[in-house]
Amino acid sequence: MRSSIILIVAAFAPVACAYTVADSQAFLKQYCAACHSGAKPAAGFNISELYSDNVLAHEDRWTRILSRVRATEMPPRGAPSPDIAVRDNFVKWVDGTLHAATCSTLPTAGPAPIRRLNRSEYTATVRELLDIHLDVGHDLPADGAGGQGFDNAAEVLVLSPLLAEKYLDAAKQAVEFAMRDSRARGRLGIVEPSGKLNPAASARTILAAFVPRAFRRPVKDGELEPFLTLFRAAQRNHENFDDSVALMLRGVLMSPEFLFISLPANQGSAPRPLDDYALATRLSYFLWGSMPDEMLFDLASLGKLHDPEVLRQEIGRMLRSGKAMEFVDSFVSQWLGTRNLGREITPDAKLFPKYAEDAELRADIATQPNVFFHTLLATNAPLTDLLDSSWTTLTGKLMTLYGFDRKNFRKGNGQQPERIELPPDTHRGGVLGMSAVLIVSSYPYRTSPVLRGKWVLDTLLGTPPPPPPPNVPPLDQTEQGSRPQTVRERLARHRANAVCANCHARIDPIGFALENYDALGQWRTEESGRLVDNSGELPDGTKFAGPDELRAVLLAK
Amino acid sequence: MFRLVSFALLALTLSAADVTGIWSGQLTEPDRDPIDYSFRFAQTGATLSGKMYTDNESVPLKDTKIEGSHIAFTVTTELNGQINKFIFSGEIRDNEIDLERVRESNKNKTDDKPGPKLVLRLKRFT
Repeated sequence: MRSSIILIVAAFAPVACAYTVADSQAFLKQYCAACHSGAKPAAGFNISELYSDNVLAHEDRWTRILSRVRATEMPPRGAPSPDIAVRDNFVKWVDGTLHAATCSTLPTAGPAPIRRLNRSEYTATVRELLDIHLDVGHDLPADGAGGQGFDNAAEVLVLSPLLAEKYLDAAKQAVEFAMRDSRARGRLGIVEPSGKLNPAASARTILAAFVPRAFRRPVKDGELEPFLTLFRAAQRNHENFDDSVALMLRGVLMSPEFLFISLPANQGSAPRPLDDYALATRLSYFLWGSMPDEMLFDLASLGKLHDPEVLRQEIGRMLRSGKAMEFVDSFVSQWLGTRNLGREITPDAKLFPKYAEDAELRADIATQPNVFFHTLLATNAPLTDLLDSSWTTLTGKLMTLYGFDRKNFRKGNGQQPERIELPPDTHRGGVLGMSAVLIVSSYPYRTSPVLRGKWVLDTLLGTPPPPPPPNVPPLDQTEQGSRPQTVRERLARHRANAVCANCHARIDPIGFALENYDALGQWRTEESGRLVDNSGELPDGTKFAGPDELRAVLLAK
Repeated sequence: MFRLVSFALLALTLSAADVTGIWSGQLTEPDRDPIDYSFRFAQTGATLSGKMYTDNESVPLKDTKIEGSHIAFTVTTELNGQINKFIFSGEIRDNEIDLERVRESNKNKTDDKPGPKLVLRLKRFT
């Protein structure tokens, strides 16, 4: 208890004692204003915007300043620079002020915008709803990524008339397939009309079971009526029972209540809790990329999903389920940029024939990060394992590619990925040791410390470097007759340019540390006939050599 | 005599905990990842019904029996055309049920033997 009180008091203690807004402004004037002021301030940012007591009014700007001053990227090399204590005090004040201001208000629920099921969600949902094994989304156009680069962003998931026609075609194909499949017919509860059950009553029975699953909630009075109207219209046109049911089910699959994830309008101004069915839908599309299963529906109907213990257990069950791979494949491949591996991004076939010639190896490389991430979730492993781990997931082909002795590891037949405890010095812990990541951060024919450094800063650390200035010339190629140059040597000339040096001082060292991996992710100790130089130094003076030391530095940061 | 039997039956019924609700647990097979199992039981006196949740739907429990703390039922599943019947039996203890699961041999295959006896501990979920 006493230690808790001490911690609380320490947490709220003033940062650097008497540091004030005035001190921070003095810092900005002394070290930043020379470039960031006047009619044409550097990067279009005039520091005078921040001469105010209200830090939160420019939260984004302050957050960027914090990141760049803390990383010693600013002030830039050659400009007057504060000593360590002055820099530290400024950083602590900005960090503490932003943190205190943010935490002074309780978490606020954001809006829940209506969004269309994207292509993969639609495909998975129809597959489960109708119990058919058919890729009905095959002919749907790929969904564009939103601002954050993911294809489930509500702002881009709208429905144009052209796209609606595509969904109509997909619904027709799916329902026709289901009507011919005995298993799917059983799942849909299709009962032929008989003496006691007339066609309309039979259609209503089918709908009463189908629509709540399609809408992911109980239906209200009258919600079945539009679909029964479709059935009756088909019957009036002398369609047979099956065709009439098919038209009715297509109507359900084109309903906005099915195609869109939405909540009933909030009539009040205050936030409100989700009901259990909405929570089940949120969970299932988040963790499975598909509709809730029967157990989720049952828990929702019992009103149990808001029980924190039930919710915790249910999330565990969902993450362990194979269905979580749907979400994992989609999320990880978009996050790590490995979605285009083997399509737009492919290692050069002449330099790396084993990749070009072995479809199984290509598949194993592409899926390794996904399987690793799913294992991490299912076993509740620390998130930092993404950066460095004592284990990984491998197939027999990957073991060979990475130079492991398969006999020492193999448990199964080597075709299915297995969790493997890594012996020391195998350099394959975390995602940075995976071929998929190393390929997408390389050129097809050679490695690129710049691409790899940028990949780490952007994808792993969430601190992307600014885009390069326009009209940057390419790296000079080796002059004819001269000794082949390593990538490091060529980049050294590039970084001699003062315009480039500021950012590349942060980008390139990270990439250099990964130079032991070639453009296919294989381990190497030589490049162009010389030993690989895997050393790097960050602008703050942190030195490291090789991927293992880089991982340690990244973890420490 | 009739009263005695009635009392005995009543005592037997009352001593059994009502298992109505959703129960979950994990079954571990050698060299395989644990498999999640979830059941929904509905008990009325000595009558038990319910279902086992599978990936997308559920399958009904059959041959159900609940006597005192003993519970037993069977589940028949179909995967890729292969039909398997599993026999579950075990003991109820407060909010846990220790079940044994055995796959029944397929009578249509002469060389098919019953599966190994595997243990599954269910915990009350709701």
